[in-house]
Amino acid sequence: MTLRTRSWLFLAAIGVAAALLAGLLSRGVPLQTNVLAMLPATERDPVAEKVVAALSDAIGRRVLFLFSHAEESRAKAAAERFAAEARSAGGLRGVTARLPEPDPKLLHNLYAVNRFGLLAESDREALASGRWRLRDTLLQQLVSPVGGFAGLPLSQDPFGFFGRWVASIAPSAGTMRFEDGYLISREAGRTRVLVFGEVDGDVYDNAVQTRAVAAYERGARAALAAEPGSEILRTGTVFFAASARAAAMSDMDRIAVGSIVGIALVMLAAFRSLRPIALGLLSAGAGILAATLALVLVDGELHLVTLAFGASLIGEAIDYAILFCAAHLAAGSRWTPEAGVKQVRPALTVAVATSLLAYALLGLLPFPGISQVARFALVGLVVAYLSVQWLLPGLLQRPSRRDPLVVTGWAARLLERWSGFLSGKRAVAVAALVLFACIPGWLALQPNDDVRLLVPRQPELALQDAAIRAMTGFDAGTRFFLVRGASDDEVLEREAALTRRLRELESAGALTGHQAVSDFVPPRAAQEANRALVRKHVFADRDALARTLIDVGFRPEAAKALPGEFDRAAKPVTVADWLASPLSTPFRHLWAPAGDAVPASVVTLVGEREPARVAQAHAALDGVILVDKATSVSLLLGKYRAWAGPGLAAAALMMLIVLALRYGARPALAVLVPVLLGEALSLAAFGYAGVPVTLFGVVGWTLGLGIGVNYSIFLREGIERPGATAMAVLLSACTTLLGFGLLAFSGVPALRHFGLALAATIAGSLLFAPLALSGRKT
Amino acid sequence: MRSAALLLLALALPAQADDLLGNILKRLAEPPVVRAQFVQERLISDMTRPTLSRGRITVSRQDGVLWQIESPVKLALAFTPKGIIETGADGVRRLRGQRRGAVETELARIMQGILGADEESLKATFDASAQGSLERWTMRLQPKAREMARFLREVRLAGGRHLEAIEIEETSGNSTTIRLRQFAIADKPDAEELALFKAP
Repeated sequence: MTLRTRSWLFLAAIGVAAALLAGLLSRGVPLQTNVLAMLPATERDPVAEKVVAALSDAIGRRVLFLFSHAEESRAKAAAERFAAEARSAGGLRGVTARLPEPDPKLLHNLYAVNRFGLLAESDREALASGRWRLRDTLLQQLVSPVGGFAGLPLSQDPFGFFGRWVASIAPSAGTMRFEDGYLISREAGRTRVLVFGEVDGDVYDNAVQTRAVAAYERGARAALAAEPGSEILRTGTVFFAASARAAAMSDMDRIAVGSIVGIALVMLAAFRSLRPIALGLLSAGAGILAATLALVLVDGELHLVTLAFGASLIGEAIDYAILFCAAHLAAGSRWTPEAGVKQVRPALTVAVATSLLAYALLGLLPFPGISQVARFALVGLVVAYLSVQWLLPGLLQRPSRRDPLVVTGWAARLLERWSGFLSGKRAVAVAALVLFACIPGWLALQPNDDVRLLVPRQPELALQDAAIRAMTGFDAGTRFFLVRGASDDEVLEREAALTRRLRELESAGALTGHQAVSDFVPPRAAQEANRALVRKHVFADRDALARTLIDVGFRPEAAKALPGEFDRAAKPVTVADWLASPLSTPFRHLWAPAGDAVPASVVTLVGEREPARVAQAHAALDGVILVDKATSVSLLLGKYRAWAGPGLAAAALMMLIVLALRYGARPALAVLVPVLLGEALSLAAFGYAGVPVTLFGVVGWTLGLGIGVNYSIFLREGIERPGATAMAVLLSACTTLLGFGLLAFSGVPALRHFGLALAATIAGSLLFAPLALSGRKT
Repeated sequence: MRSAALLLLALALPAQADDLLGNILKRLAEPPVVRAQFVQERLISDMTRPTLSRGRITVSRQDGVLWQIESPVKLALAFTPKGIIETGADGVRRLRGQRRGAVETELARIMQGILGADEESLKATFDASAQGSLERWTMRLQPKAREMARFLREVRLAGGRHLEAIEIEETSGNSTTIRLRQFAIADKPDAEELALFKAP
C-alpha cells in the first residue's frame, strides 16, 4: 500500500465517521446535565439509591411561577394569560393558575368510612388524659362563634372531632393561601399569584428542556404584554439544567474557538506555513471526532463535563502532529515521509504510552463522569497518534524548501541557554529553591468536596428560586427519611413513630414541617386505638349520650342516629383508599418510591433550621434511614480526593517503570523530575491563589503527570536537530496550555479547577524540561 | 355637557358609598382596645332550640380579638394572626389552625377583620356595602372567594359609634346573631387578657 492510498483510506474513514456523527447529532447533542448521572452510586443501600432517583425525577419535574402586580386583578390576569399560553405551547403540562373547584365530598368519601377512628393529636390527647368532658365539649362546639363551620353538620360531628382532623391535614403553603382557587399572597402593596405545572418528560432530556423553556418564554411574553408592570419569578430543575447546558455549550464554543485560533497563530509563527496548521488540526480533529462518535455510540450521551473537556483535548492531540511537522522542517531537502515517521515514532510512542497510562488510571475510577472523560481522551489520543503514522505521511511528501538551520535557530539557542542555566549544581539549587518557595502554598491548601462544584447554579435563577421558596414554604431540602417494613402497615407504624418525633422538633422550631403518608392515613392500630378511645368516652353509655345530646338541644332523632353512625363507620382507611382518591395526587411520590414490590415510604422535610437535630430524629427507630444524597456525594468526592496523594505516587511510579524500560533507571528519573516539579508548583499555586483542592483538581494533576512528561520525552528522544526538537516541545506546550488553560475560565467550578491544575503543571514541566537532558552526552 | 355631568355623577356615587364604609371602619378602629358584653344566639339545623351564650369580648388593635364565653360553658377564644388560641374551662390551652389556608385560620382572620374593623382585610375578603349614616349604619359583607362562599353566605353588621350587632348566615342554613353592649374603651389589654392572647 502506498503512503497516499493509506492516507486516502484514513481520510475516507474520517469522512464516514463525520457523516455518522452528523447523523447522530442531527437530533440534537445528547448532552447529560444531570449531576446524578455523572456520579457513582453513593448509597450503601440499593433501594435508597433507587428512591433518590425516583424522587428527584418526581420533584424535579415541577415548575413554579410567581406573578406579582400592584393590582390584584392584574396579577391574576397575568397568571391566567401565562397559564393559557404556556399550556398551548406544549412542553409543560398541567399549568394551572386557578385550581378547579374541589369537590367537598372528596374528603368525606375518603375518610367518613372510619371517621371516629381519625382524631387530631389534641383530641386524642384530651380523650386519653381522662380530663375530657362530654357535655363541655358539646357546648363549646355549639357556642363557639366559629364552631362547625366547615366539615360535617354539627348533628353528625357534635364534638368536632372530624372537623379538627380534617383541619389538621390541610396542606400548608407558606405565606400564601387559597383564595378563589388562586394561591395568593398580599405583601408590600403587591399581590402575588402562584402558577404551577410539570415538565412534560425527563427534565434532563435536551428536547424536553428546549420545549419547556420555550413554553415559559412564550407564556411570559404574553403575560407581560397583556399586563405590563407584572413581575415573573420562576423555578424548577428544568430551568437550572437548561441554563447549565447553555453555559456548557458556550464554554465549549469559547474553548474550541479560542484554542483553534491560538494554536493556529502559534503554529503559523513557528512554521510560517499553513500546511502544518491544517495537518495538525486534521490529526487532532480526527481524534476528537472518533472519541465523540465512540462515546455517543457506547454511552448514548455525553456529560457536559466531557463536552467541555473534549474541546480542550485539541491542545494535547495536536502535539503528535507538531512533532512530525517539526521533523519535516528539520530534515530540509533530505525529507522522506518514511524516514520522518521512523524518526518520530519512538518519541510519540513513549509519549502516548505515558498519557494513556494516566488516562487509563482515571478510567478505572468507578465514577461515570470522570471515566467518560478518560475514555474520551484514550480514544482521541490513540486516533491522533495513528493519524500521524498513517494519514500525515501521505499528505506531507514534498520536502521543505526552507533552510532548517535558519528556521529552528532561535529555538536551538533558547534551549542551549536554558539547559546551560539548568545544569549541574545550579539545577539542583534552583529546584531546591523552587520547592522551598512552594512550602507556604502547600500549607495553605484547603480541601472542598461540596457537590455544588459540579452544578453551576445560575445566580439569577438561584435568587428567584430562593424568593419562591420563602414565599410558598415549598422549601424541600435534598434529604429525606426512607421508611421500610415488612408490610404497608408496618411502614405506616414506623413512619408514625418518626413523625411523632418530627412534630416535637416542629414545635421546638427546629423544623418547619414534613410530609408523610401516615399523616393522611394513620396506621391501622392507631385508627383502631382512636376509635376505642371514642367508644369508651362517648359511646359506652348510649342512653346517657342521647340524654345529653337532647338536653343541649339536639333533636331526638339526630341524637339517636349518632350511635348507629359510629357502628357503621368502622372500616380503617387504607393507603389503597388514599391512593385511589384525587386528594393524594400531590403526595403520591411519597409512597412505594422503590416500586410496589418494596413496602416503603418517604418522609420529606421542609425548612430544616437545625439540621443536626433533625438528622437524629430516627435514632433507634427500626427500618428508618436518613438519605442525604448531597452529603453522600460530598463524602464520596472527599474519599476520592483523599486518594490523590497515593494515586499520584502510584501513577508516577508506573510511568517511571515504563521510562526505565527504555532509558534505564537513572535517566528515567531525570525524565520524570521536570513534571514532578511542575506538579509541586501547581499544588503551591492552588494554595497561594486560595483555590480549594477538589477531586477535579486531582484529576487535572493526574493528567498533568501524563502530559507534562511528554516534553521531557521529546527532548530526550530528540529528532534530527536540537532546534527542531526544542521548537516542537515549545509548540506542544503552548497548544496544550491554550487548550486546557482556557478551561480555567469555565463557568463550571469543576472544570475550572481541572484546567488550572493542568495548566500550572504543564507550565512547570516545560520550565524544567531541560533537566531531562542531564547525564546525556551532547 | 349632560353626558359629562352624568359621568361625574356615576363616578361620585360609589365614591360616596365607599366613603361611608371607610368612615365607619375608620371610626370603629380608632380606640386601641374596646371591651363589651355580648349575647350570642345560634340557630343550628337539627336542634330544637337556639343556643344562647354570654360573655365578654375584647378587641385589641394590636393583639386581635378575645372571645370569652362565660355561660353555658367557660371557654376563651383568642383570634390572633397566629391562629385561634383556645383556653378551656380546665385551663388547657391549644393553638388551632396555625397552618395558613386552613378554615380555622381563615375564620380567625375574618373575625379579626370584622371586629377589628380592618378595612384592608375586609375589602380583600368581602364585597362590602354600607347604608345609613355614620351615627346609625348597617353593613353587608358577601364573601368574594368561592372557598369561603361555600360555607358563608352573608354577614350583616349594624351599629353607630361601636359595632352593635353581627348576623352571620351560613350556607348550611345555620345562623348566628351576636349583640354587643356596655362598651368601654381602654389603652391596652389587661394582664389576664394578654395571657389569653399569648400562644401556648
